[in-house]
Amino acid sequence: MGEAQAHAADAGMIRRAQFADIYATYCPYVWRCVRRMGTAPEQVEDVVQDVFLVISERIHAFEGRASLKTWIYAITFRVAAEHRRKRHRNERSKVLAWDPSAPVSADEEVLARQLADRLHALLDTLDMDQRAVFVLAELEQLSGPEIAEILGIKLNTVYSRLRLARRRMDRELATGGGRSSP
Amino acid sequence: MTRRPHDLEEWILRARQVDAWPSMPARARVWSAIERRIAVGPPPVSIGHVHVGTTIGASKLMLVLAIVTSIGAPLLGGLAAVATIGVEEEGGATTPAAVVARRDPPPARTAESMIATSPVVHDDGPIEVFDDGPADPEVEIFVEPDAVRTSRTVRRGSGAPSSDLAIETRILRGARARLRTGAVDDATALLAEHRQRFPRGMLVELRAALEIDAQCRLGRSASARALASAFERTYPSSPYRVRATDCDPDEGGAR
Repeated sequence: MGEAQAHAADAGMIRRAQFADIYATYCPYVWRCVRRMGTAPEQVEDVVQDVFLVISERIHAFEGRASLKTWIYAITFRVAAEHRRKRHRNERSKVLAWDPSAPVSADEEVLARQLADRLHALLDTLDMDQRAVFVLAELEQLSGPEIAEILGIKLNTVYSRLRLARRRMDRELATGGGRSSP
Repeated sequence: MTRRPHDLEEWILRARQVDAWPSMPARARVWSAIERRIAVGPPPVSIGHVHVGTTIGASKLMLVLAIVTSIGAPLLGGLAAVATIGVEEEGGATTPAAVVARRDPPPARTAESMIATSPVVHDDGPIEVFDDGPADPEVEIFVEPDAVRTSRTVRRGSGAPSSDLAIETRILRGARARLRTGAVDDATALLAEHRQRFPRGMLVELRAALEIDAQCRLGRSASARALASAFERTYPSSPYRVRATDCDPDEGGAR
């Protein structure tokens, strides 16, 4: 193997390790965000694949102006939002239906699953803009400036959308809403 | 005794705790599919004097390496091992990537048919090739274990390149490869097809960069400069370094 080929092979290994490690580190966060952005459970894997395809394509463009995490969140939200726009008009997952009158199991595992399902049903009551801000602020606990950078919006808009989202969620909780149509 | 949360603050606190994380098998499954769908870490694209894509500076490379180091080799090794699951070697032989034979010739020169049937040598990552026929459950793709391309057979599954993004990627990679080999007309046709099919696609920025280079290679310097100017306005912080100020088709495109 010539020197140039050896260098190319080394570079290939570095790239492979780099991408594999990004996947290992950020897959859980991407996965959770994709789900919280309204992707149906059975479609999450496909959307996560798409997110990492974009990351693979664009990793060379990452310039470190934002943190890697912020950069990945931004890609995740764009891909998830695009996916949801395409799918949402056709179907809404019945799994997410929230029936406030349904009995709550005392079993911790079952209860956790029920709460997660109901959380997603509540999130479904928000539009995509408010949902994105709410998920990043309240669930991922990112700062306002970070969210503004991820979503490409002004800081004031972040706070405005968050306020509206919280108001909407409060109202849904008070009225027992958030029920998806079967 | 656990009870149902009542107000929003309580819901939020509980949601942070209960929302599902992916299981290890699910993560491994997705990684395996990604490995099949893409070339891991394609290099920055250099087409003649055009540099499309950015290089990673030393400091950024160190950042990435630091992340790699922090996770540890065992995890990477495990992922690499998992990534090979489900891939069947065809006869155990490795062959150079060249052409994938279709049973029937494609009826028209669509983007996918051009990519799938042309024996273009490209060194910037494999292009996944698949048969769209619904009756054929097996597809040919190229995977690149390290430096050697290998023709293998994998079963169509959730990892098949069925998404718009995968199609976009394939079309633009095909265009890029053709620009590199001087097949500018084919590249232009692919770019036009991408524009038509994905006017607001996820990779429009890359398409715009490639279009500038195509114009330059066609000798349309004025058009290339106009596109480059528009590109800079539209994507002021673009990572794609595209300038047409020294557009010289004989020198391999825009600089």
